[in-house]
Amino acid sequence: MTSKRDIIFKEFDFSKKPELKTDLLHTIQQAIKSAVSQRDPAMQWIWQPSINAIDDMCAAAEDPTDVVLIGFSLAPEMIYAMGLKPVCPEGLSFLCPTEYLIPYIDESHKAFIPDHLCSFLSGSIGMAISNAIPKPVAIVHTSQPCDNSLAQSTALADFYGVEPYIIDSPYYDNDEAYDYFTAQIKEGFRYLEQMTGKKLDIDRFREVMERSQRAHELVHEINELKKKKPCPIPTGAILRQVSIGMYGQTGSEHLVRWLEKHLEDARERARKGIGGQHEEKIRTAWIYAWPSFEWTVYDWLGKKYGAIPVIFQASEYFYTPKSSGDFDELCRSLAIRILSCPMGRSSRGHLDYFVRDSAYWCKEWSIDAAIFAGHLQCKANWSVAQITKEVLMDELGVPLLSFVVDALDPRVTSTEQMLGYLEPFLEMVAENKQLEQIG
Amino acid sequence: MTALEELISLAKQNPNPTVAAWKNEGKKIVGYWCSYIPRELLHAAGLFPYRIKGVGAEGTTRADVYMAAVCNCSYSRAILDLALNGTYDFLDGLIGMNECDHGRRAHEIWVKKKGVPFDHFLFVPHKSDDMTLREFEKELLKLKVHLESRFHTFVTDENLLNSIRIYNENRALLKSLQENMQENAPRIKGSEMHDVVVAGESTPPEQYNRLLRRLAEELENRPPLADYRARIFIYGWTGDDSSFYKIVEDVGGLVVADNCCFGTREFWDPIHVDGDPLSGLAASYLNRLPCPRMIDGFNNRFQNLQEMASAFRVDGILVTRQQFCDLHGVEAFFLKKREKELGVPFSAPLIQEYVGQDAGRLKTRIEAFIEQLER
Repeated sequence: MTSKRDIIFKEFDFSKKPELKTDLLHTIQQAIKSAVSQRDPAMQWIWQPSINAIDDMCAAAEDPTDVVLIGFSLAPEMIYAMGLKPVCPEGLSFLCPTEYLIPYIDESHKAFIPDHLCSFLSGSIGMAISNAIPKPVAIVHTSQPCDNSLAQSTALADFYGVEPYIIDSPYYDNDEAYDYFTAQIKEGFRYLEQMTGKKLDIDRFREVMERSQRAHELVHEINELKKKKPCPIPTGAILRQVSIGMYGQTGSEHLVRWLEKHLEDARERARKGIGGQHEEKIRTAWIYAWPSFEWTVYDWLGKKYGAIPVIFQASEYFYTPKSSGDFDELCRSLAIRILSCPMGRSSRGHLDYFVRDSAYWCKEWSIDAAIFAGHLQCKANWSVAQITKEVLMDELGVPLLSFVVDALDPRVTSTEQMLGYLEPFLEMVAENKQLEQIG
Repeated sequence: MTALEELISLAKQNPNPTVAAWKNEGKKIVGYWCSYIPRELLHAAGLFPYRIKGVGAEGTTRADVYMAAVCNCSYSRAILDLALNGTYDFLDGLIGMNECDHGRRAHEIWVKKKGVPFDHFLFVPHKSDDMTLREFEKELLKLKVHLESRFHTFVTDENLLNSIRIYNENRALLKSLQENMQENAPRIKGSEMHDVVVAGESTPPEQYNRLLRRLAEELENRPPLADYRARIFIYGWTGDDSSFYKIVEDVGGLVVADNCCFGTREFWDPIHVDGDPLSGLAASYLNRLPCPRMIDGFNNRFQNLQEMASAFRVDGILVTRQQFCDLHGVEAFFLKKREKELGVPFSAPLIQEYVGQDAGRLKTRIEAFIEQLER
């Protein structure tokens, strides 16, 4: 479809009944590699986390005896430490091209999964019941970030007939909460040993946690550099890649290598005083979801308005503990790491986490405009949007746009409709900025 | 007024007249969100535990500024709306908990935007084992200390045991009423039973017990209900409104049992104390007939469903849920897998809205379900 804009958006035709792909993982793998190969060769490294994620899951599927299904907000460190292979079903929902994902969402509804369950999760349940993902030997989840996740974890466990281990996330963030979570992580390791017959190797656990620590430090440095103007990142898409890496690959060597390259690139750009492919005029913060069915829209916004994504909630990590190598302390570090992952932190506890984190990013990263792309089925975060809007405007004078979208399913809000929200908003921001400069 | 009429009247008013009577004596009332919050502890602190309800909500306009009508349940929004319009200004405090995302956020917004004189958030674990039990005991201790400090009171073991005894009597009386519905021709309807349970959530328990005892006596003189088409079990309603039950009755069904928030889940299991009453309270609440918020609870609920379907000679199960309730929503997925094992027909999920209920649509579907049962 060629819109009135000089940009071509993807065309989706859901009137035809798409097939469920049973060799789904390889289909996703091919689709990702094909899409990346069409990009500028000098920029292809940016999408390496997506490639690593799907490659790892394909490798896991080839020998599913060691496969552990995990929730996306459970750190894979725990599984790597056991020498097992993590597969994150909702990660697959995200990596899956839209036209292949939609039939799985619909399939889950036929099995009485409610249509108001988050599409990341209903898509993954649809994949499971269609035998598109390998049957795991164990399932480890957390109760964070929300009820959707709790419902999905129990549904998957019930479908597979695999007794899960679900770590109950606390509401608060304090030593007592960390103690509670840590105790469950230790129990989780016992569960994995029992289910898989493998023993935890403390040296491997230590190495995994050191790499995880290193990844967090690198992300911290990169995020600090993003405060510079222009924001020294090649494209907004890299923020999404950071989130893919940090949610699903922390503890791995390939993530550390990729983040080192990202940091090196960011430092070089900062040194030269350059940003990405478009001139930076409006610094934006995507404080929640980022619709992923059509990426060209973000390039379009950069081109037309100079709207550069500087902040994306899922790539903004807080985490400090340095593990000493002692088992108890490693588990405690892992507990804090899991609890501080962005969506876990902002959704499982008091709404102030979401509000104050958003205000912090907008202030420290000199954000001009915040965007709350409200994933339709996200009950916990939709009920924070208005208060966040009030705080950002009252305290910082930063406007917030909120609109309903399904981050994965364009049938809810199409790309055109999204632009119908974004364009007037950015025009208003641009006009206000000019007025400020004149004034 | 008969006891039943009095109870239904208490259920349908918010606040109900017991609030004014309590306040006139200079005593304090503390609201609470969910049945996992032990009322006994509040009662032992000399407080009137008043369950927050949506009764009286005429819409959700105020709440919809802060919560999204596209994905947040209308029950939580109705409650928040009442809070924002001042209906709950009589409360001296509010206890929130992590029952679900909707309720949790509604509580946070209420406290932030409207304010309450006293606020406590109780973290209740999502699973039941030794570790989480210890955690829940700690949480209850924190609540106890906070109540004592705020309301200048002291919760002794003696008065906690007394409160447990009173509420256990509530439960026993309710269970006995419910068991009446095992008869071929019970003397109380499901909708009436639902209202009776709702009344008890916001009536001082001693008064409630007196009313329940009167009701039990009055039932003996009530005409039996013999004219019905099918014996129905309702599975999954979370609201305080009995209109769904009435729709079933209007089309000739008789609701004989349920597994609902304001239903048997509330009173089926008594509190057992073996030693420390606070520990007994924690264990009993965490291990009672579980709500879908409990990760590990489906097998218990399913077993209970099978037992009740047998004991109450259920012809069919109406599976329902509040729109946007993910926790109850996934129950239908579990039930579908166990269709043969269950052995009792159940409906496809019937979605309800607490505000803006589409009674016509529900009536059509329920009637069709009952017709199927009759074939």
